[in-house]
Amino acid sequence: MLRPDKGMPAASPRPGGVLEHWTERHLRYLMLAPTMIVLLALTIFPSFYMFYAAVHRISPNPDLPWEFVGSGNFARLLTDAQFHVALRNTAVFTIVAVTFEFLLGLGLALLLDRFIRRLTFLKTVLMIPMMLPPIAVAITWKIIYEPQFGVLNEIMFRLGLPLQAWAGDVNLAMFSIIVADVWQWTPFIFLLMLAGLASLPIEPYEAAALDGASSWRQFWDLTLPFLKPVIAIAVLLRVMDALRLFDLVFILTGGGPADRTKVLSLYIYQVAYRFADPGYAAAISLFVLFVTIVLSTWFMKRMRLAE
Amino acid sequence: MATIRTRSRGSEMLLHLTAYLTILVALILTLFPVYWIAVNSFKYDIDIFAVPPEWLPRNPTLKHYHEAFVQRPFLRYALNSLLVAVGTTIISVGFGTMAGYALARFSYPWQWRKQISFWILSTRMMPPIVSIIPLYLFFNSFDMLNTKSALIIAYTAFNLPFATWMMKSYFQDLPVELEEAAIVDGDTQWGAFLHVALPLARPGLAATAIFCLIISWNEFLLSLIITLTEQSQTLPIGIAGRVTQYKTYWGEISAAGFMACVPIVIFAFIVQKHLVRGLSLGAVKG
Amino acid sequence: MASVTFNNVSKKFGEFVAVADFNLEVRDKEFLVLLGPSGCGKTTTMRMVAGLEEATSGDIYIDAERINGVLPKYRDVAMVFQSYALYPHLTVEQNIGYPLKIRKVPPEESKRRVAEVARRVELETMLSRLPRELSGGQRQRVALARAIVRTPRVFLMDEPLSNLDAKLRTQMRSELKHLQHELQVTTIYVTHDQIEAMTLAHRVAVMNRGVIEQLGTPREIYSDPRTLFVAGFIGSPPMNLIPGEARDGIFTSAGLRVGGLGQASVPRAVLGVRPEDIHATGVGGSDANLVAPIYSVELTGENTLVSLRLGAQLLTLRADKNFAGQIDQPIGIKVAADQVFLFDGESQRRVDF
Repeated sequence: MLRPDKGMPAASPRPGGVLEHWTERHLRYLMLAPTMIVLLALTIFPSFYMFYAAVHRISPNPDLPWEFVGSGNFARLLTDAQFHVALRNTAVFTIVAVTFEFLLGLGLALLLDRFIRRLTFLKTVLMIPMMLPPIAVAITWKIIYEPQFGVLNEIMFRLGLPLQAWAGDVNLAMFSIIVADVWQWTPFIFLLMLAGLASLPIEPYEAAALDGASSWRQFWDLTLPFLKPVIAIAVLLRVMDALRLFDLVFILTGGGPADRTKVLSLYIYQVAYRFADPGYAAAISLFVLFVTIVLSTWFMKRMRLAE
Repeated sequence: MATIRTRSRGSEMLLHLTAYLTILVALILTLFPVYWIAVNSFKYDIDIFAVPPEWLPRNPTLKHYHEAFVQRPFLRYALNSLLVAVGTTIISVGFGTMAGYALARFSYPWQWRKQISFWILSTRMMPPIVSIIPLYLFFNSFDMLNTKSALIIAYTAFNLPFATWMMKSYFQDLPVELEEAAIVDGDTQWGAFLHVALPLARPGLAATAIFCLIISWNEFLLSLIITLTEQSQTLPIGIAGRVTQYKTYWGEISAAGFMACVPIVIFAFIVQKHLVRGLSLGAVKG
Repeated sequence: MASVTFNNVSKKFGEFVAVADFNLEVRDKEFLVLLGPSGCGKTTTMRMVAGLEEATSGDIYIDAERINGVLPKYRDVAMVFQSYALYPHLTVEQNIGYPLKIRKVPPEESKRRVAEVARRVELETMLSRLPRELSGGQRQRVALARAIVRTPRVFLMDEPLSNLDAKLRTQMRSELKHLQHELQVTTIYVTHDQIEAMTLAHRVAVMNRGVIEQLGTPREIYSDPRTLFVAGFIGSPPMNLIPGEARDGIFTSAGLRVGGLGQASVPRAVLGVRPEDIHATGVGGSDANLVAPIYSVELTGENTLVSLRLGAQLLTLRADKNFAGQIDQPIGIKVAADQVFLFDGESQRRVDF
């Protein structure tokens, strides 16, 4: 029968080596350290460096010293009309695109939830757009929008409607960008809403149905409140992404025509590299960073999703 | 939706009809652009410009694939993309797994856990354009511009927070008793992580790695700024380079663009179960 | 093979005191049960022995070795978790052999021992299965096998039976008791189930709010409760605890009067009497301590539980299974004075008489 086996290597009477002890005691810091160091180096350091750059005029000639200009670059933000245009375009794009994506995604999820829940393959197919390289999406839509031989104008022609320049048209350029973005990112909202709907408990609905609540009432009183945390996350992530819009604009319009699609990311890029003014670009970047931090903090606080 | 309602047969059928029609329309809208770029990549230039458009290529050709991948350095771009993506993924997932585990399991003084988690998340929220100027100046002063290492470093800044949060959420799903059992059974804390937690988190680990590969593969802006020549330029930059002010090489970019999409679609199917979690940074379990 | 000693051990989580100034010696080869409601600190006490928690102050010894700060792997204790904590990615064989693998026992030796232990818990045909392919009872036995495969100095068991259904639990209880007797390994067993505690333990430590209320054999705990908490916690249905006043050996409370309590005088007294120590008598009998209408009658099978209203509370007595009284019908009860306990409501302690 089972007897204490003397042949077993008994645990040593005295705890192991100093190194083992030290490692075990500090494991929580050791495991976190690489990530912390890398992120400090790649985000905190750049932030300070950017502030340093923002108070200088930096010549494109690397041999020339940086010239201290104090708050000069920040003061330019107030008077720079191009910056104001970029700010306005970014705001318009973010609000319109995210609103459409949200309404469309939520609507589709509510309508299709019952039908698509088990059609995993189909669901994944519908998710393809948001996984694709934005550059590939951009050139795809560039071909579709092409005024001469593009598919969209072909459809317009068949429908007897006037042909358009789309991304090249002053009034339609922003609209074209938004359509491409909605195409790519509505599935994101749709998918998250489906996940939210799938996790809804069934009992409250049974109770509500017994209480005689209409579908509409059930939606407002149960579904929407239950979905709120998921909605918050989805919208937050979309807004953050929309604020950094670059690829679509770069390929589809290059910011034109007449600056109608010049968004902040693109403007910073142009200031830094085409106008060779990294100091001023850093000042605009700081402004964007500030807006991002304020927005995301406010959002997370409101939705209490820090953890 | 989990609604309980009584509805007449007629309106129930109408709902079914609407739903399936919607799915059909959504499928067409989703797939058409992808189909269109694929189809165009197999057409001769003259057929790409045809009015009305050729819905199916009448004379299919691999000419543009030859142009892109043999005559022009798109193979090189793709290889660069792959190397950078793999390098970024190894670093991000390696470090991120450890950090994610630490944040999921250990307690820290003064609520550090929450603070650090939030800080790591906020670095992910940062628009890339914001950190690109200091990174550019930094790489410039170390003579690292136009290198793949610079790209890997820059991409890590965005993938590491992602990997950390993903892995944190996967580790939080595991019951802590398993690691405690391992510790009482004679393992160290590190051993419990290595022998118990890590094998159990393997599906999450794989999903996180694939997401990192996708994010790096798709990235455009950072690469646009850091790389200059085909030595280090990635696939998206190569594609964008063929859209010039004077001429757009439609066939070539369609071929390259389509090839850039193929691995992503395959990956999307591999990680389909983890999509929700990946896209919401682990916040929604899905 | 080993004793476990706690000297003034305390554990705080922030402001919350989980274990307060805890003193206990678990003797060599003893089966000691820590019994108490959830949140009483019993699991924390056990986890401090395992090394999963560190004591905030005080010393813990295994034999003469102070184990504060010793890494769990060098403590040589084994633990069975409430959830079993089987490694889901390992087979039964690998699960049982894990502690040996970590200790670098040679594979053949390990295989032999695993087979031996598996036979002991009747799992020898299950060795290549994964935990998810096992029933609850089988999983429980894998957890047990993993603990006994290396003959540790101390067994720690954290409510190991609570996830089993009632029938299996009874069976495993006797298995456990036999196993411990056979292996002669010091065992600390945590439970909130008093039946488990009474049936398994050599000694029971009843815990409440981080301190031991009473330490003793199951018999002592049951028939000689030292505090009001122990009196109320042990026994099913629980002891009747009736607040009232004791003067010169006579206890009175809303209509109830019990004499023969020596010379005891307690202004805020609580009288404790177990349901089986109250007997139903005829209504007319002059020796009845109380006459009251029946509030409820519950047949449990072997007995009938009869409740009467006494002031604001209910008084329960255990009557014969053939008890024929109806609700609202008045009956008389007789309390045997030598079977009652008197407690001081202020100090919560027993008053001897």
